[in-house]
Amino acid sequence: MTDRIRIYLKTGGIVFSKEASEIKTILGSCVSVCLWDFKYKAGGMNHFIFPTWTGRGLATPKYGNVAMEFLYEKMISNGSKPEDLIAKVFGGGKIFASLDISLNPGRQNILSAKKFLEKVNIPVIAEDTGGTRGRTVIFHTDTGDVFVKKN
Amino acid sequence: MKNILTDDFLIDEIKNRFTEKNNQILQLSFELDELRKKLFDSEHLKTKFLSIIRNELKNPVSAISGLSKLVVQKDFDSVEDIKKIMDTIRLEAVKFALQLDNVLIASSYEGGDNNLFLSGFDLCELIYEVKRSFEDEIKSRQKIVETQMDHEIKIYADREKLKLVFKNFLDNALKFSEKNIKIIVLKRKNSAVVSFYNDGYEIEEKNHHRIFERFSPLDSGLSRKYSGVGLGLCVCGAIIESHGGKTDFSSGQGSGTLFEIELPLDDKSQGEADDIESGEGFIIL
Repeated sequence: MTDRIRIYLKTGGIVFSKEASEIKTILGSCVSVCLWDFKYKAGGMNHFIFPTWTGRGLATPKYGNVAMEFLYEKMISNGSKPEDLIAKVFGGGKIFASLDISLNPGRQNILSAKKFLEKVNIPVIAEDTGGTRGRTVIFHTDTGDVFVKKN
Repeated sequence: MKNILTDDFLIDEIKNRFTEKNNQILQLSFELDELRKKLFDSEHLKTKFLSIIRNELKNPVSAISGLSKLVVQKDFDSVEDIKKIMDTIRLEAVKFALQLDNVLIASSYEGGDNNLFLSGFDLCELIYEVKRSFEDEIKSRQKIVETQMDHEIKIYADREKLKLVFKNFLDNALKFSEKNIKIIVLKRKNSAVVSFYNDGYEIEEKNHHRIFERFSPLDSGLSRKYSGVGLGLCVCGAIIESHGGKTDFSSGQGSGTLFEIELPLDDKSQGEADDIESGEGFIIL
């Protein structure tokens, strides 16, 4: 069994690891994107709550557009080439069923992630998004495998 | 029927639009005012931070560079004299490292990097390690640090971050105590409690709310008696909170000050790692 560094990714955080790591997070309407470099066998993951930073408060990675940019930049500055990256997208559940579709933060979060990935030409090769349940997501950065369990 | 646009209708429409735009302007001006206040606050905070950091980080560096120069330039009669100076340099470097760690952790937490690198370890052993790293300082300040703890308390946490927390609490206890410090580590049903007691002066009730605030050393200004950036407890609070724990304190007249840190013992991530091995409930993507 690979001896992986175990990291708990909290809301609004970003993790990038060159060493074999197991990154775990728990999602509701939040979205996490796992970026994996299949050449270097290294990866990173974010966990954001809101789709877009609108200029209020600090531009932290709790906003989708900031979190995606940060994660992508971290991968690139550590030597990854954009063409060697693949993405897996998780979360964005509609936890409060009564919410109007236009106010569904989960859906907006998924769109924010996909919009960025499309812009930088990174393919989404797997996803488990939407629905009405939360998820536990565990990412093995050395193999690119992601384990998802509906809570 | 054909709608006729009367003058009254047009005037009403213009009035409505004007009121709408006026409300929008009011809203924007309110937001602008909020932004101005935030900018003012952050500017004030920055100035305060820079003025504190100028002393707290610059002083140890000046001392280190001055003393090193002295060692290089002066001819000493005995090795003991050099050792004494080298020891002062080391203590200044330790102080500097702690302040720098606090600044770096605070900035990473504010920048969204609040991730924990979890591993299983003995909490008591970590406390002993922290105490050992302060041994010279305890001796030079002539303080007594007593420890009382269970044999082994296995905890699942970020060891390096907790080490910084305990270093801060012990550093504070050394600064503010008269003579005696007591560290007690206890195991409760689902948590571990680490208490740092010092017999120093009472923290006045009016200052209680400032204890965990940024850049709020309780004694500030020219009469400052104790050093510190005013980030230590704020950083400790954030680290403990990110572990799902809590920090509390009590301070009474003549009875010193007690800080209590409660950390959860349950290891949820361990359980789920086992689940992955058995494949229970997980799908692989």
